[in-house]
Amino acid sequence: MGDVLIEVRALRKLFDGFAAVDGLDLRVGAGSVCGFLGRNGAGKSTTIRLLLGFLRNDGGEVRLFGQNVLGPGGGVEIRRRIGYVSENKHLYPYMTVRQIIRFTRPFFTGWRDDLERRYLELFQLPPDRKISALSKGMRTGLMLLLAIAHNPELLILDEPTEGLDPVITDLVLRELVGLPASEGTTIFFSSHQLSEVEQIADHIAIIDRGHAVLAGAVDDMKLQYQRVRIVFPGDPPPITWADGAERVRREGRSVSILATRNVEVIVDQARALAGTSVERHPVTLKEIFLEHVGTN
Amino acid sequence: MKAWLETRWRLLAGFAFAAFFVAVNHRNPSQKGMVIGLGTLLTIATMMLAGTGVKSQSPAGFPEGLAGSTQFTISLPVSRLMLLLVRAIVGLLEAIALEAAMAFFTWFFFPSIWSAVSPGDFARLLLVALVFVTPAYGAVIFFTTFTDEPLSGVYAGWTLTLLLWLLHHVAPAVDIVRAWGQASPLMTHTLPWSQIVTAAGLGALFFWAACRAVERREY
Repeated sequence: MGDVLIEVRALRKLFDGFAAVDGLDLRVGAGSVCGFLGRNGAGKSTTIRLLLGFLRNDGGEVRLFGQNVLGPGGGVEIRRRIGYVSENKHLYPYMTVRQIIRFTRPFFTGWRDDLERRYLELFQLPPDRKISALSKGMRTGLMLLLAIAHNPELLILDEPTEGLDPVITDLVLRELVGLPASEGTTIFFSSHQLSEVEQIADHIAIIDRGHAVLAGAVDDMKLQYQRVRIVFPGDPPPITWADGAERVRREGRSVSILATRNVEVIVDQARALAGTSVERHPVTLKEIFLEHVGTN
Repeated sequence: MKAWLETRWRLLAGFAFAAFFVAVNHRNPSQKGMVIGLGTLLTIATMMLAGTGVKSQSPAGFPEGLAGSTQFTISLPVSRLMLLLVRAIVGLLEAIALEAAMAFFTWFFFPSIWSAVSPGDFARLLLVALVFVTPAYGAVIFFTTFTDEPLSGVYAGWTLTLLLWLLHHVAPAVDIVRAWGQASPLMTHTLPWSQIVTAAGLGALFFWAACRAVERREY
């Protein structure tokens, strides 16, 4: 991980005594696309609102670009370097597309006309149409335009594809996945659409009940997490598998194991049994996610 | 730009109401009725002009997106205090423009008041009117930091009614309403300083509270 753009330590946020975020630790490196996963109510949106300084933390620390988000004067300078798309995608309904661009543009010094034109075309945004008359897909496109056209170093997206049709979802995802390479943008986005996260994220952080249960590079996780399938010549004997063997399932003469660590040890253990054949399969993000939060 | 787009129709409506009020009273002008009527109109119009802000983002007639765009607004690289200040100053300038229009309509269309009211007294009345709407303006600005329309206006209206009632019954010497009648510059030919200070103080207090609230509130 290169420069750390988002650094969260022991973050805590209470709402009426209930800990929506409870001791969260998180690090997002420059140039990465980090998917922030969790079930509904896990604390994703609260964390994002804390990152942006919309909420005040009850404990811990939030640093973006090495600066304290709630520090003196920190918020404005930090927000100048960030693009943000909110979960509800609400903009001023009485403005036209052209007016909201004209309104937003002066807040940023690095506004890029080429990016503005690109997103106007890509999402087929009619400049003179009122925002209240835009479809949800167009509104998402407009929010992305406003968030990206000033060429931010960090893009924070809260459920960017929520409620979009598959065509627009694909368009948005394809656009996002290219940004780190083309513009050097770091992306941090929350979602519970695991297939989308798997499609574009190179890092993930999973939050459950307000704290991080897993974080790291997707590729490393896929190496670490594997499904091991062992076929026995007869009925599988009772075996105590090595640490890391989770979700051991018997299916006739075979045993399926989701290995969360020590894959090699488990495979060696299986191969040591006479007459067995052993297969290793990569696991999906969904299986990893369910392993950590699905049974809680 | 945002503040202007949110309030331009309200300002135009204010001008239209002022013209309508003058036209209705043109045949049978009553000095007392004019002063009270225009004062009430100015107060309501000023509260309407203050009615959109950090929390409330949408003019009436756009139910979709009400208050939802707050997150977009506060994600912009500008301090919340600056957002509030710009919004408040634009609304106040609009209120001044509205009052100037009302003064023009009144003076131009009611030549009869020329003999009854001196230009000095009329100017004093205008100054008093502007200062006296600041508590109403400040109250709406304060309540729009955490409630949406129309609730912010309702809360401000209740708060203002309670304050005016208290002043009328507990501290009549600084009763703002009285300055529209017995203590009006049209009657006393002087500025009602105690009421002016009270109104300005209340307006400043509400505005200070709004500044504190907008900086500390969570959105």
